[in-house]
Amino acid sequence: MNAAERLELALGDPSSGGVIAFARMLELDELEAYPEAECRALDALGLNAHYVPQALGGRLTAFPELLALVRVVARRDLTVAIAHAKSFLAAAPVWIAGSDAQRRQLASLLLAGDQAALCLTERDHGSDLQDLDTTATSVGGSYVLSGEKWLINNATRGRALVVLARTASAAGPRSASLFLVDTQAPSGGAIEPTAKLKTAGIRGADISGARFRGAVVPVDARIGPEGHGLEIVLKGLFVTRSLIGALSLGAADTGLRVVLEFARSRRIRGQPVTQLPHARAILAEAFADLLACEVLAQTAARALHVVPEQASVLSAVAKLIVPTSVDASLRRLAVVLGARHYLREGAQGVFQKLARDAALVALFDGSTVVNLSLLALQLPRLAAPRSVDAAVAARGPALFDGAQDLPAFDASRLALVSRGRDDVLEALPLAIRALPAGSALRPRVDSIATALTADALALATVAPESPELFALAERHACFVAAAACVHSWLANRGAGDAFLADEAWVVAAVSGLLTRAGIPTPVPPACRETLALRLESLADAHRSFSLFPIPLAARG
Amino acid sequence: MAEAVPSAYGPAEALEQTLGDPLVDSNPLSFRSTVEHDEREERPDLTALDAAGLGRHYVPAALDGALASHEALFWLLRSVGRRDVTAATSHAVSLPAAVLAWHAGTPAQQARVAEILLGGGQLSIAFHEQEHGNDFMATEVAAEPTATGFSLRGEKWVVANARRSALLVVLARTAAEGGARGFSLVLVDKARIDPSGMEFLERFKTLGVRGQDIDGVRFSDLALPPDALLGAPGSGFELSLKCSQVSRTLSLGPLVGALDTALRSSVAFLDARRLYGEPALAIPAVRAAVVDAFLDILLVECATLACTRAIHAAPDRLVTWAPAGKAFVTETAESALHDLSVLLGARFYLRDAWWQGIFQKIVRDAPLTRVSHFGGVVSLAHLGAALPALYERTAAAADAAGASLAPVFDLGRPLDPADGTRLRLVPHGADPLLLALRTAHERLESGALASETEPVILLGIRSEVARLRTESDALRAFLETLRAPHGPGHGRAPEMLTAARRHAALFAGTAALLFWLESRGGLDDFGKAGAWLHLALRRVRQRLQPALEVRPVEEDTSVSARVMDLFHRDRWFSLLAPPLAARGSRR
Amino acid sequence: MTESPVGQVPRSQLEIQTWLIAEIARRRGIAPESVDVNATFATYRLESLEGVNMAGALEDFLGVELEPTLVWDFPTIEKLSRHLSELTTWSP
Repeated sequence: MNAAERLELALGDPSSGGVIAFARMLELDELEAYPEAECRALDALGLNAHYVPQALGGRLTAFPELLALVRVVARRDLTVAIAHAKSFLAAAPVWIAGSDAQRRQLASLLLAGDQAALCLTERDHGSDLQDLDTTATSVGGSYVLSGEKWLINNATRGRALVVLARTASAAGPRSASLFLVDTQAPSGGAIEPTAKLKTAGIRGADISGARFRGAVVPVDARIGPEGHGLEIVLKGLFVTRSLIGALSLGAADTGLRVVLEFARSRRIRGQPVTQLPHARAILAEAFADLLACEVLAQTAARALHVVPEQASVLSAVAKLIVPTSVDASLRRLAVVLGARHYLREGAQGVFQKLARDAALVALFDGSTVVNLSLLALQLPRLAAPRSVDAAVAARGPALFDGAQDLPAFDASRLALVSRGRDDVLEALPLAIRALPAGSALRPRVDSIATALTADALALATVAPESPELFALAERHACFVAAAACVHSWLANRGAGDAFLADEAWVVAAVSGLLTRAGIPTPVPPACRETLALRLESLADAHRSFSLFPIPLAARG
Repeated sequence: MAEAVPSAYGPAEALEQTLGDPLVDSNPLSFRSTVEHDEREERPDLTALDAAGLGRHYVPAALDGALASHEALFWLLRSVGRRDVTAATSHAVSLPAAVLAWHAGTPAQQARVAEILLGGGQLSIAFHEQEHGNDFMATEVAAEPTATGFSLRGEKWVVANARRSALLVVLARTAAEGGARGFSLVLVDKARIDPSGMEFLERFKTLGVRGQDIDGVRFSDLALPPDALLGAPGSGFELSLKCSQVSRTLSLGPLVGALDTALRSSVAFLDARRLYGEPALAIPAVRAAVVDAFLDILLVECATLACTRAIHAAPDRLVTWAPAGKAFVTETAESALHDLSVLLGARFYLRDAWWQGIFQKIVRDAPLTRVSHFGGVVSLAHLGAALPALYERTAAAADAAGASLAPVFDLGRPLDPADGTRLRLVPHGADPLLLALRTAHERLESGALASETEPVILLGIRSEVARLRTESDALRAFLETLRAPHGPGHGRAPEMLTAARRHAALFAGTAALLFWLESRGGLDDFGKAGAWLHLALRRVRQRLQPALEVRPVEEDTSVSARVMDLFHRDRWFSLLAPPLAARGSRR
Repeated sequence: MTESPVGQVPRSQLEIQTWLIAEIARRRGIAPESVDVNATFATYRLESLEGVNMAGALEDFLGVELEPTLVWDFPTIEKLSRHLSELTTWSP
């Protein structure tokens, strides 16, 4: 049993009680109350240790494992998952670029159950981090922090604040530095939390801010060289964006489960709703989309170990595709629920909460627009033709085969741009050659190859920052995701499970992604049926909706 | 620039003046008040609407009400909805029952309903049951005949305003075997019943429209008099299907209004915001998103107005127009809200940060329109089932001159009184809208409007109309293929629903085209010029056949200039663009 | 797109400067004559990641790998081109 499987069993069944129970989470949401007890329980189960690298006394060794752990929590409740795992998001820049002393300091806080908050945004600047109002003025052997951070998760409850503040008068990418601030250390000035912001989703979360009134921090609180704050933050975001999909995957699993149960129990004209072709198609395709997102999230997580130089691309793709795909799936699933999707109570009451919560994930740590921009900037080099090199082929198993070991994560290899490299697409010609004769994937993959060529030509004619460029970036992301699915199928079809060997799931997943890319591609009815049957059988066996299902905590 | 204010806008204009600017906190139905009531799940204060006589517009003039034009009622509900969807749905909750009464009530029943409405009271309809949702043929609530009338027994599920309404119209089984003639409508007039036979169950907590009362109702052998029957015995299903064509059209008004606020609040935010040193709106991708949302509103407006005016001018077509309009409007509204939320970033989900947090309320309110009033999949499935024959008959109508649709699409034409006897259960003959598309294409190809329209724009319109027509032909071919494996009775195949959605998009695009052709004379320069139509048709086509294309920059620019102009001059995001309450105006 | 001559000798400051002027002019749709070699890249909205991206194209031109954040640390055409021309070791 791995850590995620253990956590899943330890947390108990959310629909009949357990540590993070649906009914209780709905109550807390109504009250906008922070899930205090649930977070403590997660600490008691040692989840916080997984946010700290093993070398510092924690349990973090491989990102895919962290992805799986957060998904286990997220399937129960996103407010809890975000409130708890936010500390990892804040810690990532420190693990990447902190000094030994800073890393030890933060590790010790997190292992003791304290939380961290990443303080980047300000009210008037949104996601523009090059012209901050919060300043850090160098005075003797210290810095004095002044200003206010706004819309920060855990700003009030967080003991450690990782703060981006301006250290140069001219705006620009070297204008800010990053600081690790312990709010309980004497600072000679005030650090005050500011009011909780009322949100439409994750209502109980601590989304507030911090005001610095001449707070003094020692010079060794500065993470990395002066002026390198933005660079460190960006690299940290590459790591967290690759993992944030776990939140969406958890929401999707529960959303699908709730709707499936409803559809199985509800009869219309003598048939369960799951047998109505329209509803069955929605369920099957939602399952396929979930599997596609799972593959993409796992690929991005594995890529952090295997090709950290490419994290700038794969994290943007994962962040662009996964949360938005899940949002769209949940909207379609809501149709099957009918009026019940609109009720805040009852057996399906959890659906409206998880949909509201999930809608926010697309916005965290880099919105859709930001990630489209990031990808758009790198497109010209990504689109340049390149022949497959042996090194890419050799890395394939590590990237796509879940059973392979991963090299240790080396943060020093994180790069702001990938120089046009992207193993996932580069290895596509190899995948095409490996497809079995007569595979329904072949025409679909051919569509991708054709589109990539056409898009590369179109790229030369589109204007910077134009809607056309963004459309190309979005398509590119869909193609990367589809390629990841193809690679994953090839790598895992020998794992012994008939469902994994069958191409139904990957044909459906790729069809969905192609349709999203603007190439309407139908899902063959036989594939849909295979997926629907698998979905029902996983539900009967009480296992997660995953390519590698884990047993769920037993019903009480 | 002469701007014709539609005559149908008169009552709404007065209401706008009465309510004032919703950004002024102290005004009735201000955004502040709206969001606060929503937070507390409290019904908004509707006294300003009562004082303005909105309820009179639910009662026909013949019964001393003010309802003459449904188009006027649409604008009234649109005006309320732009401030607060909850206020609009809570006040207009009476409409579905009222429509049934005007259609099928005896003089005495109609007099009673008018009395309630004109006295400030309300009505509810009770159709849904917990186990059956939208499947009304499975209705279990039964009205058994007794010596003194009927005995009503059973439980209705999500009934809006049940506690407060003076009268409920209930769909009940009156024949044990059910079937098309097994259900009837009965009136439960609280003033005439023994209250012990009716119990209100716990109030439902909803995702959006939180302040609206939605209750369960249990009937325990409730005795009803013989004249409680509305319409002929066994006519319940038929009446519901016919009248829902009207009430679901009217249900769109508040949502169309809310879209205006969604776009207006986004534009206001972007106008004030600088990104990377530039005004946000200077960034082409941002500008394109604003233009697209505006085009969506225009399309939604055209679809809604077509159905609304058809209540008067083409009621026999509503059987397919109403579900098409509803599907297009509800789906487009939700996708437009999603696209705008991307622009707003964090402000989309903050409950009190920008414009008092109204945007996140609208996002939660919007789905209600989709699920209520015969919405959702069932409605789409019925439409889908009717399409194969409709398209075949339309194709066979070799002489393309169908009935002129000028009465519907010429906004300057006054509307004839609504005649409910012309409502149908199944469509007949060819669809004049599809025929009109064909005619319009031919007219444009043979040079119509060439002297009055900029060549580049006209070329664009002609190209899009040609492609719309191709799409119509393709849809017909697609419907042909659907007949084979499933047979004519199988209205639930997923592909049938896809076909219904495609038809809905075609409907909206054609409506926009026909409004431009028939109403041009009364539009201002921007409306006449037609750049909006070119882009709107292009948007419909992209929905049907996504393609990577460069946007027409000049037309994009002219439409975005129009959006900013309407924003700065406080006029509706609308083809007609009448004035809103002035900025800062206090009641 | 610029040529990418791999393995060539490092370029002179003038060659690099000329390339940068042309690149900025192309990206911003302005005349090369109007590009100021002493203005910061931020003036041309090439700060942050777009600037890093431009460094990528510069790599192709020079045929060598560059630290992407050089554009941030040498934020004008003049400074960047001078720094690059003065580097004594190039890694191909």
